[in-house]
Amino acid sequence: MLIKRGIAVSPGVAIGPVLVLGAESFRIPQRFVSIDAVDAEISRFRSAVEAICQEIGDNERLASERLGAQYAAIFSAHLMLARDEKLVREIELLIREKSFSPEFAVSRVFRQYAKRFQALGDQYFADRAVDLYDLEKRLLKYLLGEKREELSHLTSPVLLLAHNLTPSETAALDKQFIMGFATEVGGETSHTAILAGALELPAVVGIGKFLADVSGGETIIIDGSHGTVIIDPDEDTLGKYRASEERYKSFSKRLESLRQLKSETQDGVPITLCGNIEFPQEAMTAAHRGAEGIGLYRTEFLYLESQREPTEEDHYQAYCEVLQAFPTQPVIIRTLDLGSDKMPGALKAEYPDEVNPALSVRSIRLSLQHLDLFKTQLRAILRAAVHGDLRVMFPLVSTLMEFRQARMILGDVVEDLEEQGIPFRKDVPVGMMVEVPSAAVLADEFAREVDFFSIGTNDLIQYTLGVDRGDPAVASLYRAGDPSILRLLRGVVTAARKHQISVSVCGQMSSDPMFLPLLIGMGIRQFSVTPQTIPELKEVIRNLTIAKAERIANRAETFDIARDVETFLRGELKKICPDSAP
Amino acid sequence: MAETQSYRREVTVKSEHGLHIRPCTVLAQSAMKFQSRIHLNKPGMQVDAKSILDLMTLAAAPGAVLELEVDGPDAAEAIEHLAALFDSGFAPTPAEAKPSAAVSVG
Repeated sequence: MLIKRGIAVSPGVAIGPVLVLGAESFRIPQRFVSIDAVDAEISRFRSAVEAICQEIGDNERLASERLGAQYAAIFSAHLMLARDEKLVREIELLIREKSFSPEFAVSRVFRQYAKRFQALGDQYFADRAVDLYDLEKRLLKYLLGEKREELSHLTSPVLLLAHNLTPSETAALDKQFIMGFATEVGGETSHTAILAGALELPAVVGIGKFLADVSGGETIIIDGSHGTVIIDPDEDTLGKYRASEERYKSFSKRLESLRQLKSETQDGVPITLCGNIEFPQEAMTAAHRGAEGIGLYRTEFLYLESQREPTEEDHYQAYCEVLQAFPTQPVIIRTLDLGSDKMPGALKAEYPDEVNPALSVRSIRLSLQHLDLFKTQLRAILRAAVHGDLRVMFPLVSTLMEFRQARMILGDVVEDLEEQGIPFRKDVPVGMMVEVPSAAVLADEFAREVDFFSIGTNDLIQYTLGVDRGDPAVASLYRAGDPSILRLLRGVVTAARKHQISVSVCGQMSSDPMFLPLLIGMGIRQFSVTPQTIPELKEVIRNLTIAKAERIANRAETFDIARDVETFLRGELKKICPDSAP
Repeated sequence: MAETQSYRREVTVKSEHGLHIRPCTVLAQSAMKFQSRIHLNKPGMQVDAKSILDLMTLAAAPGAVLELEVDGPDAAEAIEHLAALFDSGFAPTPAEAKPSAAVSVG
């Protein structure tokens, strides 16, 4: 029995046989193929070569257009290497005569050449081994990528372990057969984690290297409530977890019954609980959970799902789909919130010197530098707004100037649509995310010009404390309960109240029941949360009075370290809901 | 079947850094335009000139003397073309410097 600890990102317990995904760490899942599969495997290898040649060719064209022919030369060399007949022959020979899997053969041959380069006794050629590793990686990524798709053809339940899962891979997981997952990398606020929550799969991320300790088919336990993964558990442990699996199920059933009840405090103050979503398909699920609107529609996946930029129509269709689930309630669309490092294709290459993506061209900055992209999205928002209560929100605003610029562009789009006689709504409310400390500090100034605030605690905490939650080495320094965060929140709420604009909290912090009394006590009446946490949060709200929440907030603000704040809040939550999450 | 011819000629690596990845790319690209089998020999070693990987394992330094060996129907043309490449130090051909000029080559 082996116990591994990571970050708990989606509650629940799952027990079952394990499926280990290779890729990236390039553990090759299968070294040999059966003889009658040889032809199929060879053609799989050939299409992998074709695919990466095309990819390299695209890079070459791009580099040559943007940087000049001399920079493109390295790609033409890569292209020649990938097409090298001798290399291809050697790999195919290993597949045909030794029944090696293409992955194994590719890795073998590339590594042999890399070794030869390194043994030539010349630094230049030794360094070229890197080019070979790069190609090997591209090929394996492609070959294993195909394997990954087999995930969609599962026939029996498994728990999934992987170095990393991309958000789109996570979204594509077949809930019928995947009972939970755990990854080596990732943090609580990674998109993968957020999606795991949306899918209601027990999940643990950020475990660190552990895949080498597991072999496929072994029984494991994923405890998504406590962030542990237990490999090859003994009978006692299994028994204990089976019981807790049952308890969790009955707890979920009880929460189910809360879904139809009103979200209001004991003294009758309504607290609005909206849902955060990433995909339009999630809107309906959010509605079923009792969400009173969408407080945060992250539109990034429109950009990530395909290799091309989404068209105005793609945006429009997605927004309309969300509005169908919420025809009369508010739906807040957040404009593109990606770093240029995450953007597909051409855009990424435009910023080759980007050192620190979190502090570079991302979100509203990216939109303001690429007005065509920005205007496309804004047009779709204004057009879709005729079908419901759609609102627009700009992410990562750090200065007033930025907000004014964005608003001006929106004005331009209004004029364009008017001129073209296209139906749209003119008076769409315009809000902003408060997630850069500068915006929180100047909340009073912003509140004069903005229709609503939404506090994005994930980034606000990251930027205020200077901690990347996804980095296991510093993840423990990321504390939502830090007094500095509480003080910033208080300032934003005060400013919003003074200027009579609405303020909600949409970060992961608001989905944690522990922080809810504090936030309500500070005066926040609207939250946008991971939809499946709504019933649990509702239970806390229904056991709370405003006076009690205010007392909790005032007391929490007297502590000077995060640990004391969080210990206090945890204790208060236990008093409010003695039998909250198991 | 076309008549097979064989040619051998000594060539000197004149490119500034020897047979680096870029000259190897040019050489392999050019060699692949011919049907003939094309090898480069140095004492104790023979590599396929159509394989950039093979060419690189020569690790030929500037000034290195190699033997170009060509067998095949278009060997005469091939050896002239490739020897000229060595002589020019693998300067980028107009075709490479400016893709649009490719059609005018030849």
